[in-house]
Amino acid sequence: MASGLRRNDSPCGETHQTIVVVGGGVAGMHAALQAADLGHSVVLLERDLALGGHMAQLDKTYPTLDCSLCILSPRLLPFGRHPRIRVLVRARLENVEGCAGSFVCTVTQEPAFVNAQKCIGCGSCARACPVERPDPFNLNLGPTKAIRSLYPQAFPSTHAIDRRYCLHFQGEDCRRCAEVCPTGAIDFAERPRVMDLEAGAVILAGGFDLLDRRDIAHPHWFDSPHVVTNLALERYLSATGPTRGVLHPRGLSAPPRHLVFAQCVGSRDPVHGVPYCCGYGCAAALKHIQLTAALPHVERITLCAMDVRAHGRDCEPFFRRVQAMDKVCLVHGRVAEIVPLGTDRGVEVLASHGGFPWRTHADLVVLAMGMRPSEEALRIAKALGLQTDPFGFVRIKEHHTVHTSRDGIYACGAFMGPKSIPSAVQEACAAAIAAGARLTALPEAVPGAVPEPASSPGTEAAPDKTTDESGRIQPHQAASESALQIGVFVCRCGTNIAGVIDTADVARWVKQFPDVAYAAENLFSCSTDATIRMARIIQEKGLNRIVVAACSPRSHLPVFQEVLAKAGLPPGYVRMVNIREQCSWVHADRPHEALVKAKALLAGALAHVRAARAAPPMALPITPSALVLGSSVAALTAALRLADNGIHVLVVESGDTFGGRLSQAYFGRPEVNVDRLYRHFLSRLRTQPRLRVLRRTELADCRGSLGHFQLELRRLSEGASAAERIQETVGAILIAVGADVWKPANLYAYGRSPLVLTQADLAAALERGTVDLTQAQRVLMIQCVGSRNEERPYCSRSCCQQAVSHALELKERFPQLHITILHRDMRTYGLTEIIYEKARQAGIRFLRYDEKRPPRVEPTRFGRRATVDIRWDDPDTQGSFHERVDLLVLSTATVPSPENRHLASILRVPLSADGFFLERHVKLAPVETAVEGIFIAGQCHSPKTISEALVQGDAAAAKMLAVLRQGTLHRAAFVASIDPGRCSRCLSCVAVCPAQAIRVPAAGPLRVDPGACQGCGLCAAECPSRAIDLAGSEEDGLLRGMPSVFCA
Amino acid sequence: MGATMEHTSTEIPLLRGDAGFAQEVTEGPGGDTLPLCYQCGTCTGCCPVGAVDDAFSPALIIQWIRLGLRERVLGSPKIWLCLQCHRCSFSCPQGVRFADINGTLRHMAVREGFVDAATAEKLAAVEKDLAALRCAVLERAMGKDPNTTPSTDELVREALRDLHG
Repeated sequence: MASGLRRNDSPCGETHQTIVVVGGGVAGMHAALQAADLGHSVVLLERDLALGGHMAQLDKTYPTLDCSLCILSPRLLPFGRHPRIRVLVRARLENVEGCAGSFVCTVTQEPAFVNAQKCIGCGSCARACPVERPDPFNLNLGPTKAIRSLYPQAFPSTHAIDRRYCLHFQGEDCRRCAEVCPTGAIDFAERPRVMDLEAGAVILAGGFDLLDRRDIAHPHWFDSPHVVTNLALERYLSATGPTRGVLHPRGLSAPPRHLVFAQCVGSRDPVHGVPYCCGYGCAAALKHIQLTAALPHVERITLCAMDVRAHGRDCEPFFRRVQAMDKVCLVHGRVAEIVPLGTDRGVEVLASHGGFPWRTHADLVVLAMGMRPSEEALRIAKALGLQTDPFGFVRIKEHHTVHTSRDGIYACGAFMGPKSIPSAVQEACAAAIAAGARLTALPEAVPGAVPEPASSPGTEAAPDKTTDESGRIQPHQAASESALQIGVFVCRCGTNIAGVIDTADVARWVKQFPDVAYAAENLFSCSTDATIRMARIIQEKGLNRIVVAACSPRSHLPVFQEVLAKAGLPPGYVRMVNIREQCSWVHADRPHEALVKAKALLAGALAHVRAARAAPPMALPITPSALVLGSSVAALTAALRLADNGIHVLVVESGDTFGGRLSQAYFGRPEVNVDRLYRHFLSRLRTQPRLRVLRRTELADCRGSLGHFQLELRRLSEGASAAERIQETVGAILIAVGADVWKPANLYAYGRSPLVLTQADLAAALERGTVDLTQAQRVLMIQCVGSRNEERPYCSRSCCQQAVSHALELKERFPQLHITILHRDMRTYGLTEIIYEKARQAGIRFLRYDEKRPPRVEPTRFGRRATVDIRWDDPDTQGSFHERVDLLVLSTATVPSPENRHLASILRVPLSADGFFLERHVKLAPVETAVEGIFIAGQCHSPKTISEALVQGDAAAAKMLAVLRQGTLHRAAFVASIDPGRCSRCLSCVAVCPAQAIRVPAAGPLRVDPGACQGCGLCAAECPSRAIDLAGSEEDGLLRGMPSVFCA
Repeated sequence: MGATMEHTSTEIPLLRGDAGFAQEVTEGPGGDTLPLCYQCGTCTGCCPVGAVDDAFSPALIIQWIRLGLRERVLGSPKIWLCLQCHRCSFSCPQGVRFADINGTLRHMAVREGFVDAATAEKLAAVEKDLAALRCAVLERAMGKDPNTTPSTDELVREALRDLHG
């Protein structure tokens, strides 16, 4: 939105074309990558030795329980080779002078005493170093050396000397690292550097620190080895942690049997200056419970929480599953005291359950530590004169998403407030596109060349000749196809694979195959130094086919395709075989059989790679225009952002009115002025020439693929009898159709009594002025109506904030009211915890009920007065309550729009089990869908607040713009191809293709549209003439590989 | 989970709650912190009386004050068991001064006739004697070899003999 408001600050000098991103955690990394994808030059500053931040310290991420480094490392690798990104580690931003468009950033860089150009990250220096010291990456729970890399897969992998521990800098004569370094990279004379960087915009992503013992009421808890923080637990569970992934913290004589998770340690604690909620502590605890419950030595797990805040995407279903586990019990109360019971006898945990004293014994207590903005972030905010809130979080300009109080300086991630990873990633993308507006406008996107009809790629006769879109033959990079030289890399993945499977034996064994020219192990194949080494080995040894035996191709195949690209080989010549998820992780108790299976799988992969086709690049032209479905908050934000950046946008709204929630009443705290926002959008819609808006229009059909979606729209204008058909072609599509508020039919007397309203009804009535409670005495609100149950197991996220805001509004207007809110957990997460405190101060009361015994509601009369009687049971005691009110307000669920199913089938995008649109990856691809070129934003993805929808709209716009400005995309064609000589035109393939990628011309052979083909292989499996083959899974390879796999 | 402070499972009528009760308590010392409570139960968890009497709950007393349950609170014998150690006030993350509020409750209980003034005085005197007895018992226990220390009951008898001759 700031992009449309050109302010009066003429730059002090010429506009600089670089964006400086401060902070190399998940938010900073994504901001840098997104800005670079949008065509800008980026400098990324990181205070520590390498990128990754706290996310690199996590073992598994919630809710998919992906290994954190596995989803992060594919994002780390682009930094090593991206022409537009420069990474400076051990760097601090000291100051920023100038104004938006022409900043000068003063940066200091600490010396590593290791030459980054020469260091290959081999680690010989660390192995030779005689000095052991506590490892800060492992929270000082284990040792590292005076010279070290941050963690094994770190980027940059350059090692660095900490002069506080290094003997050389203490005056002693030690040069062991220099002696063993194979490239002579050690440089004791390196000096700190000071640089002035010119930047057009700055993005701050300084992140957070966990609280420590000085911040909590009971610092002595940390003296017991039986008490750890949640981050320490991540390190203990991690294969690169102090105990190599075995949950046996030092100081305990045996692995723990009874675990207690203590929530809100230091959070929601005004007395100690942290009144807000950390936002992720409950999700993290649930994840930890799921992971530790699977350990055989764990017998019992207790979660002690005041409220369990499972408000995130998919969090509530996760919570329901965890709660149902036999080993797990939930206690409604905060841990009050932890008493050590003498040497190695564990501790006693004192808390309360539902108000009554409660205690248990525990071997391990995991504290959910609160968080605050990092030291570095606080220092920078102060140095730059930014407005912050009382807790140090940077303040964002009203109605903006990522803009700080200083023009040209943006923020994202935990520096803005307690945050989950998906939110941080979305904010990072939003910051990238917002910052880009500060630089000179990039050249308007040009449409790519329209393709000629493609002839089918190579047949059996000429396996190494391939055609591109215009019919020219592409020669291979590898000149001689006479002899296959297969290289096999067997990954140890730390101890994840090597702990079960003897990877050295596998590497030795595979050399028996005559065409295997090279075989070796890697500790972590995905680390930067490993990928560089692999590319070098491929070139040196003349390898022309590669097999990587490691983890899942879903996450890592692109990594190894990059390695091949670096080595000059086409991407089709690498295959991965999964000996981790499919072998070592599931057969950890049978190592002998696991080894046999790994070898069988590997033999099968060798057969695949022998039959592999090159899959040369195809050219996808990109039309620089977009379709936005819906006119919600997210839709309008994205549409305007794209249009401002040169993209022609068509906004299609099926109803009569714009704005979704914006056209409804809203009382939110912290205040969002919905009126102003709505009027701002309307005026911008009218004045942005690249934006077209169609009302009463629906999407009827969609063909084609990324860059070239052919749409058919149907528009029913007022007074017209028949619908008008409109054809359009766009490059990308955004689904932002919003969601609905559930109106219960005859639940809690809704519909029977005029005194029972939904929160939406109440807001509308308050705005119209039809709420008159001057004679009323009592009000009750019921939370979680229609949510968090069997039918809708998700949490609708914004209703606790909304109920509290409405209750405060009512109390302000009618101070005599007694207002009670009946809840199952109060989920005022993050900074909204502050309004929960305000509500209690105003005298609003909060009582609990549970799902099994919901309130019983009856409309009644008191003489001539209509009232509503509510009765419910207290979940934790024998007691029950009875209330009689003049107004009952139901906080009902947010439900997916009924048009979702129809849209999903036209666009072929998946829906979640609850009917919302499903993103490609919860953590790192929160606005993309499984179909390339189709994006989602706003409540159609999951329930969220208006501010969150604004951010997601910006994030989607950033992703779309990065694609739409490409002109032509070149990528490997891992697609199906039909041999016209064998095809009998039975059309079975057309019937099964989920992507509708097969063209059936009136005359001539059937053709696969390479842009639309997803490479699923259904057509190849279905074809009775065996006329279809799939690059990437060639049938010949699969058939030849089967005997090895099944007859081991 | 622990008996309610009333022995049967009764239904609490919120509409008959006495709003004036909460107001009066709020006006007493520490009472301004009363509305802040978010029922985390930290006070109950760390309370030394709660450790030996699992029906004693400062958190529930706070809740009942806010619900206006005057008779239930002021008529309960439990408010006289509070040690006034202030562990609750110290541990409360919201700064609710339960110990001070409990003092207000005792005042109100006497003033409104739930407990007569003479009994209240007697209780105060008993607390004082108990404090002296406690110190005597602990000092006796300290002087002995832990393996041969007599039981607490025996120590109490010995201390009583010391105190009263």
